[in-house]
Amino acid sequence: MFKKILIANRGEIALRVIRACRELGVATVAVCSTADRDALHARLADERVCVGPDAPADSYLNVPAMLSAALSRGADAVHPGYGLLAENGDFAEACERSGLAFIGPRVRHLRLMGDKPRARRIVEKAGVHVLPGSPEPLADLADARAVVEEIGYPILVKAAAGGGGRGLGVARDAEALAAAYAVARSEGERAFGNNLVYVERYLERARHVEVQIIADRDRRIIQLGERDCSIQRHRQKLIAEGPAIDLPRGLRAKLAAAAIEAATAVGYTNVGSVEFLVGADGAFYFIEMNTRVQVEHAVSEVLTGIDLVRQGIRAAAGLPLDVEQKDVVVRGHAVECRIHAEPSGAATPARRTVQAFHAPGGLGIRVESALEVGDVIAIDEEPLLAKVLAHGATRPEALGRLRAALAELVIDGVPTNQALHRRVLADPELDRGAVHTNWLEEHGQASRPLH
Amino acid sequence: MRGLLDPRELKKLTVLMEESGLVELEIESGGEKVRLVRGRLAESSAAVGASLPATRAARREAETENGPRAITSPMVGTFHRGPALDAAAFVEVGDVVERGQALCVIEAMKMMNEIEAEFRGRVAQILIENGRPVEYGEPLFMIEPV
Repeated sequence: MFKKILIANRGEIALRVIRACRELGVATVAVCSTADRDALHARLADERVCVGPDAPADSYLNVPAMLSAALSRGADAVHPGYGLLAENGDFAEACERSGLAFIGPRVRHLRLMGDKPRARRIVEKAGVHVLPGSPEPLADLADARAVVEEIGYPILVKAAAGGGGRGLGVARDAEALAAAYAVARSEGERAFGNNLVYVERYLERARHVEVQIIADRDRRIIQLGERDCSIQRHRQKLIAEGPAIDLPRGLRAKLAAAAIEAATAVGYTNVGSVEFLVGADGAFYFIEMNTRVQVEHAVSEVLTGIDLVRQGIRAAAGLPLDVEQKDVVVRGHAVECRIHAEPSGAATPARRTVQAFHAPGGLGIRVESALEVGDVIAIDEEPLLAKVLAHGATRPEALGRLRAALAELVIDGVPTNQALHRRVLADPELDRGAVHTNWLEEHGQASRPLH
Repeated sequence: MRGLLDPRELKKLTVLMEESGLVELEIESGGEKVRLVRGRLAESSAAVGASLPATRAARREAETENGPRAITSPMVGTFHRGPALDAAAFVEVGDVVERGQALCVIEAMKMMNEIEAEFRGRVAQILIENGRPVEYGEPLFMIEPV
């Protein structure tokens, strides 16, 4: 096992990793920007290293500073959390070259799954369905038109290096295709430093279902069931729940098997999720694989009782999984809300100070947050402020607990999406489970004013 | 009426600037002309104030404005007082250093980065023990301008 882990992240996921390390008896080094010196993650870790000024490019994305911090403090491993450097193959490679274990999959897995068209090809070869689309990144708009000629509209235009709902656009005709193509290119360039674009058929009113897997270095791969993340706004996940309800007979097992096949095909190690779209007809298609611990990992944790962060650290240390497939039992139902800050009008100052924060609690409630009174939040970046999870024996019980928890949650001083969550949870269609990836937008929930 | 250059009048003007948040003020009256510009203290408060709560910003000013000034580390790494592990230290307490003179080395990623004095002054304090890790922005030396 590692002696000391540097956590190359901030916020709730940094706390999550610090807690797992504490349990494992591993020392922790937090990193922070100059603005975060007093942030909770920086105080809770055994050591703190300020790695640069406020701008993320100079601090949390500053690879030399991260490595220097890890080496000068005698860390032997780096945990990237999610976002920031988590899926950056160059960072993982730089860690390994410096003699630091990267807590995640191998560099080649990051590179492969980060190249979405290539990932699609490999997974398709392994026998998992993918949506019809361009097998390679497109050369130009004419190339895009030629592909669309074959597969038809509506079409989803994606940045090849994309993720997190960025660099995506839907097109229903040639004019929209040109616009979406241009947007995906520029967003891809800006957000991921890569302007390659590909297209695939856009499946409307589908469900987003993802399977959680863990694999050790000895090629043991197990799956921890699925999460349904169909409630999305601007293609970003808002609510995650597990297990997915009302799946056609036999589909759950098929999804799990496909996830294992996809992971096996690339010899995957560590924690990961395989994302699928499930059509109204029950057909399912691989979309992508997330090569990191996900924001919504806690849903699977409360359902199975398995600590995913701990398993990831163990796997990176070369230890075998300490759980077998036959021991994985999904108990009850869990639902998670992502509470984000959000801009609430043009006149709003870009930075707001948290005036009050109260996290709900009680039986079946889990809150993951690093928020504190006095924190200054850049609301334009819509940062995640808290994850509120409810676990119950049944779906109605979990939803009831979540409604009670959200009624109790207080975040003052910063505009958030709490009101949207409360409206969604009050919608009778949610109780019936009749949701899909277009549901929120079709209901106008996404665009209604929040206050 | 007192002239603009009377210290009490100047003081009033600075208070006015403070309260109104003015950065620059120019007044002409009775043949006297005064131009007041808020200096480093106010500027730094505006710059860090954007990202830090007021109390933290205030604390930073107090650290840097009185007497000797801190030389801070521009990077994360390991502090070395000399150019190599067993070499003599670049400076000792009491030494007068010239602007641009090497004070120490920060080792980062096996690269030795020389840190230079930003102004002429006397080394008042060496804050970090040889071989200790330092973070970005960490004070390394206190230098008294001479």
